[in-house]
Amino acid sequence: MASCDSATDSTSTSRKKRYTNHMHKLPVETPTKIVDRYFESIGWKPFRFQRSVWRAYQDGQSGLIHSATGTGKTLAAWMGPLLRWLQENPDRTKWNPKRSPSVRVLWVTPLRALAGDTEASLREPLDALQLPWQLESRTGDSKASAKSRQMKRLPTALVTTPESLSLMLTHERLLPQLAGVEAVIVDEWHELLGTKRGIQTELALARLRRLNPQLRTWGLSATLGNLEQAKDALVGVNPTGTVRIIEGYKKKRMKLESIIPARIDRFPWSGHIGTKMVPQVADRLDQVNSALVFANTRSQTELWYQHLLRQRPDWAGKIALHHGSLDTSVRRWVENGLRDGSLRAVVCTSSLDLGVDFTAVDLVLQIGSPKGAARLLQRAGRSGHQPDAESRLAFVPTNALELIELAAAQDAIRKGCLEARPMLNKPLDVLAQHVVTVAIGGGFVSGELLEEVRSSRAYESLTDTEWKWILDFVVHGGSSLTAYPDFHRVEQDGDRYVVTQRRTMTMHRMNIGTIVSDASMKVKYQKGATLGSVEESFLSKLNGGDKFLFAGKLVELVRVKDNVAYVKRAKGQPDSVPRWMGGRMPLSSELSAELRLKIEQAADGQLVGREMRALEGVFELQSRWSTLPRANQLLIERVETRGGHQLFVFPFEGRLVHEGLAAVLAYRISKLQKTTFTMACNDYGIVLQSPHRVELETVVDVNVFSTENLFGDILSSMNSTEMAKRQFRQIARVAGLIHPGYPGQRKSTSHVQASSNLFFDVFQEYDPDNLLLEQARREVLELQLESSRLFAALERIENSEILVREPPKVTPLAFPLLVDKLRERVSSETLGERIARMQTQLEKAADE
Amino acid sequence: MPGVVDINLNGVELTLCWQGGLYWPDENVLFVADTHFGKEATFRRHGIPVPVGSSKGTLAAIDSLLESTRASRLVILGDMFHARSSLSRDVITALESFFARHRDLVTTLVRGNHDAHIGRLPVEWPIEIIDPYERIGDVVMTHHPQPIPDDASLLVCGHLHPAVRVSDSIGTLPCFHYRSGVLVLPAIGRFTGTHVVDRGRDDRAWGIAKNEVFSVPSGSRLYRETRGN
Repeated sequence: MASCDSATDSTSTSRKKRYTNHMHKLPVETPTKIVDRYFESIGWKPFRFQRSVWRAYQDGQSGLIHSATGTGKTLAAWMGPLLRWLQENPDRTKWNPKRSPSVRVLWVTPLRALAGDTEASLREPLDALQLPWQLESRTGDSKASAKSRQMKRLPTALVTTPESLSLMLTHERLLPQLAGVEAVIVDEWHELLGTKRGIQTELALARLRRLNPQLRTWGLSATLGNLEQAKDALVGVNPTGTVRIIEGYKKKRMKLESIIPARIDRFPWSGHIGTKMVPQVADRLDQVNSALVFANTRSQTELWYQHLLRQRPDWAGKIALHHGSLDTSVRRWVENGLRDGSLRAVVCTSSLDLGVDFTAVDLVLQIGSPKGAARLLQRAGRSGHQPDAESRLAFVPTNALELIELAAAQDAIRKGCLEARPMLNKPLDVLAQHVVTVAIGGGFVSGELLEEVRSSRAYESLTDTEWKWILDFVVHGGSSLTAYPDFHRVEQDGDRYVVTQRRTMTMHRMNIGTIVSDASMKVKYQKGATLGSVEESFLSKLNGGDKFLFAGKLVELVRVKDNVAYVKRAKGQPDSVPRWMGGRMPLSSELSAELRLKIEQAADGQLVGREMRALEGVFELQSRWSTLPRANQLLIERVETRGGHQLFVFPFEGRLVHEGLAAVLAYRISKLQKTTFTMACNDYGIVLQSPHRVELETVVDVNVFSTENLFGDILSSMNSTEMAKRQFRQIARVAGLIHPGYPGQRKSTSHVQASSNLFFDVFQEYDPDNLLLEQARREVLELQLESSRLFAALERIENSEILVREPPKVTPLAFPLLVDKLRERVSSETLGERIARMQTQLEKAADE
Repeated sequence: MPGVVDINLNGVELTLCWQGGLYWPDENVLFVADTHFGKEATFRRHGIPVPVGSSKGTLAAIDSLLESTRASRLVILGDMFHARSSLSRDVITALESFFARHRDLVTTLVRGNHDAHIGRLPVEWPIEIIDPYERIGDVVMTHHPQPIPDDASLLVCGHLHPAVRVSDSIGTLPCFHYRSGVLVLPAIGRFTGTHVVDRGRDDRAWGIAKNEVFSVPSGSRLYRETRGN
């Protein structure tokens, strides 16, 4: 979203006045002039890309606008519809503020928390131009009275979320109004892309295009590696008009620097998450007015906040903490502090990646590897938030090797090798939900809806069989061969599919959406103030009296009651910091490729840039004891330690790929040689520890890195059922098996509540061909194990030269792996044997 | 019998079976709890698709228990049916054929919370419905866990669907849970959830993994209840 930093409230009003006076004198001013004048009033001049968007819009085109944040994308998209309306309604005297035009624009924002800010920034030009447009929001937070008023008449422009948009489609009487929508503008499209929410949006867009084939669709996105795909997903398979990809303001200046540790460890370890850097970071913060400090996980933000406060006690009240688990009121307070510049620094997670512009921020600090070049670019753009200002980002490595990642990211950005957002392929759970949505919103005829669904990119390849299964699923519960008795959700009325039962409609509307949050629990003071919420899985491991860091405070767990954890302030040292799930991003494949090139450069003795030069000692030792692999080589190191025989493999492909690869390697080697492996992975490589020496010659001979039967071996080597069960949680929620939201009616539905695990087991046992199970397995491979990346990695390795080294000691590259706590066991023992062994261990522990 | 564990609780000799039943050889009684027959039918009535088969699966587990123990009496410790809508045609048929298979079996239901709303069962079913606290010898039967009366040796019940968390990789397993004279049986229903029990230091628990029962020593960790039904 663009905004202007120069005008304070009073001056902007006076400007507005001057401006309107002007306009009365010139009633015949052309729409373009009017807009130019508006830009002038806020101290800007339209960029060329903005004019291109406006022209394309007038011509009825759709498109995708991409650029870094803060470069005027919002106005580029928003002024198009405004200009068009001005063209249609040139005569000011006929404008009647009491009679606003009917609905023309839907503005979709990914976060409902952003709806308010979005509305405010869209309102500015409306007010300045005194357009008689009505602008409102409709999200899960909107008041019921506003929603029912909107049911009768939608405002001229409506800010909404993907969920609320889908919900609107369940109301048949809204459809005639929605058919009049001229444009849908999807904000932060890159955030939705490749997610189920994005797919939900694609389906809703297909529906809107069916209602109005002339609909213009515009998307705003950060720059991505797969803009073409992003565009296709936005406009569908056969768009009616021309579709443009327009790059926003290009000349944004950006400065990336690193805070290089005073002393570089030759055996880097991220165990202390870089808090040794605290004094240097505090010094850097001293030099700026306001900074965002990004850490990769919520637990890291808690620690960094504490450390910064300890370093500068006088910063109490001037620095703050922001992450997704904090109470909304706390987060609002922090965001306002950033907006008015009263906060010196905010330690945050990706929770501040989106939306809200903080014009006061003049520096972004990134703690630990950003894991991707696009993300680094996006975060840097959070500072210097005006088109002409410079974005500045300082990188704080949490271990020395991460300096290579920053160097690699700089190269990737320079070359324009930004990450592609991987796309999801026809998830059936989302489609099942959408089909019920359409059935409630007036019903459908099979062939017509199929055509509409296939016009979205996600379901372009939907087969007739899959479509038939979806219909059977919503009508009969399962495939028609094993029709579930007494099941009714969607019913057939002639050739139309409809929903007649009120209960089904209510239940469906309550549960529209694809967001699944882990079971979480409120954290409250005994006196009543809410601090936020934390995953149940974390709290269940705490005992009363345990102290932990949360919301920037040290608290002690008092008791857990009715899904609330009551805490009190504590003194001393924390026993633990909550570990939230999902904080660990793997290194992107684009960045991995650059990283391999950087190491090759180091092998050739080319150390370009401060980051690489700082690592000279590390590289020297690595090549002395072992070697620095070139991009077409795979390094394997074999070392014997007290713990056993260690095999280090360095594909540099990112953690998720390595996890899958480690499991497959261990599985394949243990088929050749009976042994048990303990493994650990990081973004650079894998360690396999075994009590026996692995005969590498045979291993290399039989080619354990083969892509042959890869998927079979993954499935046999990992506890894929457990993983599929976890993945099934979201599927069960989206497909309408579990109903989390039924506020106030919990009791009456408790007898139709079951966990997704239970559904999984029952389907597995009694309806094994259920396609939702198949989807869960596919999602595990694709999303949890990144199997296509793994496949590509193995193809690369098959064509690489394998270097086996036996260094005298653990090398700098290998050291972080050795201390990595992530340990996973693979063995040929059966479940019974494992339990027996654990029993013995537990018995011992119990006796002590 | 394979996959069972023999235990002695306050002088009562019992056998814990991997199918989730409790056998008392001295009285030749088989106890099971929380069958929740027809739960899948209730879900379907509410527009949630659940395949048929779990009620039959539960009956098959009881068949297998009866076959291996040769028990002459079956006691269901409550929550035989899930809801009124659970008595669907296919569930009724499955139960009738169960009763036909076991003509000499004496079946008793201890009324549970879910049974309160289901109304009358078909009169021709050979099943006796009793209130909580009735006894067989020194053993008291209830649905909800209750404090044991002073003059009894053991109280058997269900309701909790107890489970233990064995490890992060194995996860939770249904279990028999014993504390202060009260033995809680796992839910035998195939479409029932579990509930991780809060285990005290002196509690005993036996987990069920596939087709074996094993004793789970009490750890120092305090596990909270995480999931209910």
